[in-house]
Amino acid sequence: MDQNKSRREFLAAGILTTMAVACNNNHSPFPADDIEASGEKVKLLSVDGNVIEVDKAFLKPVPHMPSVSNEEARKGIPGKKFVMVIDLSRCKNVKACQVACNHAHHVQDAQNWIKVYPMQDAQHTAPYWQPTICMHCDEPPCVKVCPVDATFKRQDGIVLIDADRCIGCRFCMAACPYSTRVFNWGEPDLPADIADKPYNPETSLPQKKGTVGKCDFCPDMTRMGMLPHCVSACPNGVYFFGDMNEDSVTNGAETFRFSDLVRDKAGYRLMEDLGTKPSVYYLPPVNRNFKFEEGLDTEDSTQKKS
Amino acid sequence: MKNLQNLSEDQITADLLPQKFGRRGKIWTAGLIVICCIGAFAYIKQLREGLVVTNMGDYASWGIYISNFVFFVAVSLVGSLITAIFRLSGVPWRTPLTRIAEIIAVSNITFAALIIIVDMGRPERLYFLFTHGRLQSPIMWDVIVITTYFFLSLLLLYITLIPDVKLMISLKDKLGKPFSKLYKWMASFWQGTEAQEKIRNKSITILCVTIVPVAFCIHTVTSWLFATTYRPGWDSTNFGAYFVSGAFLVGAGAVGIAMFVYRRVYKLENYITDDHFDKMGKITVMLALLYLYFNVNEFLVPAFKMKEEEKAYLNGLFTGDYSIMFWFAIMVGMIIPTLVLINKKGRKPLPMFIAGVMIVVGAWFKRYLIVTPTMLHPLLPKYNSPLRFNHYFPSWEEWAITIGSMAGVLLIITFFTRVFPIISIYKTLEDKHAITNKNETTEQYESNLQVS
Amino acid sequence: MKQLNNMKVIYKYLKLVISLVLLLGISIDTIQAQDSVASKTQLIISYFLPANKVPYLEVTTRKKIGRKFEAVKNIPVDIYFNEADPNNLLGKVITDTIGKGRIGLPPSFKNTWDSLNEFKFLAQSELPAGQDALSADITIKKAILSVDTTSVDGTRMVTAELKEKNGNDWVPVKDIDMKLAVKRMDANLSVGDKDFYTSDSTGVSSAEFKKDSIPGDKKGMITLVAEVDDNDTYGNLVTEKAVNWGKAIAPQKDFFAQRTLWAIRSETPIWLLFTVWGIAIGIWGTIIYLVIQILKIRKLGVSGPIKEDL
Repeated sequence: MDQNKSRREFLAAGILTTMAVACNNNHSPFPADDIEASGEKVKLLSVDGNVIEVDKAFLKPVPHMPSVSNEEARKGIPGKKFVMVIDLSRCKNVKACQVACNHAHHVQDAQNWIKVYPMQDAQHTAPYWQPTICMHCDEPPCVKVCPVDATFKRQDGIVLIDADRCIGCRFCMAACPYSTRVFNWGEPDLPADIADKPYNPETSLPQKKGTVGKCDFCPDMTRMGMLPHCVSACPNGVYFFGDMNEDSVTNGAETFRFSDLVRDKAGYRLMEDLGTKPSVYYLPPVNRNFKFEEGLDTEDSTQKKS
Repeated sequence: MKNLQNLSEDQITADLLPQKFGRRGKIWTAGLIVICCIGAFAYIKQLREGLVVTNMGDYASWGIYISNFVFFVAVSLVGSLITAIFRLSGVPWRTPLTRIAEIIAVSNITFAALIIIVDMGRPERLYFLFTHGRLQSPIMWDVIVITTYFFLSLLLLYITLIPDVKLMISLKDKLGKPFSKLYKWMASFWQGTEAQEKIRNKSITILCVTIVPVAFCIHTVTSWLFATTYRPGWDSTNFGAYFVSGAFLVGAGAVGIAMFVYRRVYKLENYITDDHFDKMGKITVMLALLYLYFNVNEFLVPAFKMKEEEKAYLNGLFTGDYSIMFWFAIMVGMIIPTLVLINKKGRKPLPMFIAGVMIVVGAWFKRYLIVTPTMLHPLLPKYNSPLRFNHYFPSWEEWAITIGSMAGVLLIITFFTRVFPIISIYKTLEDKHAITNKNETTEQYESNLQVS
Repeated sequence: MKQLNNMKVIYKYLKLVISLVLLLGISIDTIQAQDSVASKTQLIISYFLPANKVPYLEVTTRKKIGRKFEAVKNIPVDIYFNEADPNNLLGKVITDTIGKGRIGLPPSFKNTWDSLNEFKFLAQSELPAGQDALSADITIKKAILSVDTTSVDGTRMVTAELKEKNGNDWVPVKDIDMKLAVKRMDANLSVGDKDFYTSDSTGVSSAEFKKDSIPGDKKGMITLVAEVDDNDTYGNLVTEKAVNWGKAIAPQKDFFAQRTLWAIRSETPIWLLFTVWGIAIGIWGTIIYLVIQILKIRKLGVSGPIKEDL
């Protein structure tokens, strides 16, 4: 893979690293033809009082990311292997994750991509709240059964859906053991500006009638250097997102070495025996921050909704 | 079969030629067309509004469309059973049943293919299966194998029809004009020369050998659509055999019904004899017991273990929400027909007809039970999802489309019967000659014995 | 209405009215209080010195809704040095979708920047008529942060030093909390066990590097990051240094070349391709053969002696 391409595919990181180069040799960080990286330069003062030319993108808090082509969305971000860690000892069923996710992805009706289950493993064991998202399995049963490559596994570990390809056979929904997939049974109710856009598998928008939807791990956010919506929305830091290839996960406030975290807290994956090899790890609900019952308050109102 | 001896060739031909619809026939056909139109109307509604018109949800994401698909595939298997297996094993009394079985197969496999398109959220993207098809998906295998079976069934039907159609061309004045062009296109080249006869016989044998494994495949692969998932009730290695045996049973039941109806409506008592009912009855008993055997395997073994994931599902079937339907399907679909047909008195036309109806109705509900209860018992609890998704009962649109598709199957069979002889005239005449010749030689043989 | 003549009723009525008025008054108050929390947009200005040593000022516009802040976008903000005088204007910015906007220091500001060590920056926003203008300011001291590595008895240490400009010299600052971390996606992973390390009397904070064999790039290079976050005097400072302390990560075997059941259609497993195509060709070969046989029968009939039906 040539340097140009990898930078385009993972631009946010690119901006930061090339910036360091830019200040050292006062050289334009982006080739002129690379319009995606703005290309325009501004002259600014360095802390030492020198006048330095940097790319205008430097002054953009949210980097402008043109939505990637279908081909690139199918390949994924090279060198990455995304992973999520969900700490059950911190979950209080606040459902801020669900609200943020539903809002960002325009999840239809009363459907949810994120579900927070009250779980009790056995009669005398303590109940706990268990948020589930798409497990982005490394051997995804849903992808195995798709007849038309509408759902696919990317090199960065993410399983996405191409709603322009999906024929709506719903075999993937039957195949998924985690009940994570939802179907757009009717015409989705979307704001006009979103409904008119071409479909982007990385945002799963705009949703299309007669096709399947599910959690997409927000690769569009990652490309902008931001965390998935559920991670940043959770007030209790339940969700940790990161890159297995960097061995690091963060919930925004805290950052852990992934291997240490799952080792020290005995991380596990759901339904390991099925051999689906999920990319989502759970930390068991020990030394909890909240009582299970505290989560019941939010339960009534949300159940009414559904 | 002995009746054939006493019938003249002209009489046989006259009895078996297709007949114009009588008053009953017209009412029957009109009724079927109306039901089909209601189904088509419901489908147009579904096309416009999406699958939201159904009562399916994210849990019961497959409903009676899929049940009905499995049902049609199952019934269509009978074409290979009666024609191919009987022919290859040299069953002598098969002649009046083969074409009935073949047209049942063709009409059912046609509607199986159509109903699966009805189930698609995006039917206009059907061609993606050919432009973007992934061979890893069991759906692709099913598409391939069903298309193949459709063409094989059609070929079998056509090759066996050729001499009859040729005969009908020669009886143009008797039959009138309506289909003469079609007949000419189909069979005007047939002269029954030895060379033609030889190729035709060889082709039929090859077809029969080919169609048996393909027929096993259509239903085995259909069972794999379920068995390749992790869900309770589907995650079973027994599934292929379970489906195929069930398919043979429902096919035999369907043929039993058709035999009775044709015999009654077209007065074919001389051709579809009590003896045929007796023999089909015995075969049906065997198939019912075979299916029962696979059912015992399918339910007793998991019920003995009562694994946590399967517990709610199995209890739902045995004693819960689905228990009435479950025991109905077992009793009415297998046990009562077996008890009826195991007696010699039960293997008469009317009891056979009733048993056939029970088998087919039981089989349809069995297919419903294969799909819906499993879908409603996912591995994780049903939660944080719209409450209406927690249950499933088909909407009127689903019923209309399903019943419309069944009417469509019957309509194909009805039209076929109007245009072509439902019992092969050519083969019946051949049988008659064989019997007569055999008797002649036997008599000669006996007289020779007496002389010596 | 008649009943109003009854004193008792009037009393009841009055009591109701009074309590209603009281209730209404209280509730209006609370609603107003909540409203003022919910509707008032906040403006914040902060100073950043990123790794490339080009400082910038970031303004944030947000409002509190319920218990959390939500971004307010499309707010025009003017940023001044010292006071809101057109001569002191450093730049104008409109906050984006996450309610943030940034400006760098323009070259015209060079003389001021070089001559002073402490700066006051002022952000102001003229909102549409009827709303109060927003304003925020920040005072920062010019400082630089550096990160380095040392080795003490074979133990790898990460050190960082914060220096402020005092007169014409850069002098170390003590008692500053800083993060010493390895740069990762979305966040930085502390090199040691603690989240923060405080600078000693020499202005240096140090931490033992405990992230052995943390994955680096192909050559094992990792980026060390020193960070001062949200300091009242110095703002936000970040600096980086690349070291070869990481575990070299071999380039991944080509993901898309794996022939598996979950791969894309062009990567169908060979055994499956053989099986499916084998069966399909076998059966369809037979079908084609049979069609040819029918054509043969047809040909025999057409070329034969009797042609009356054609």
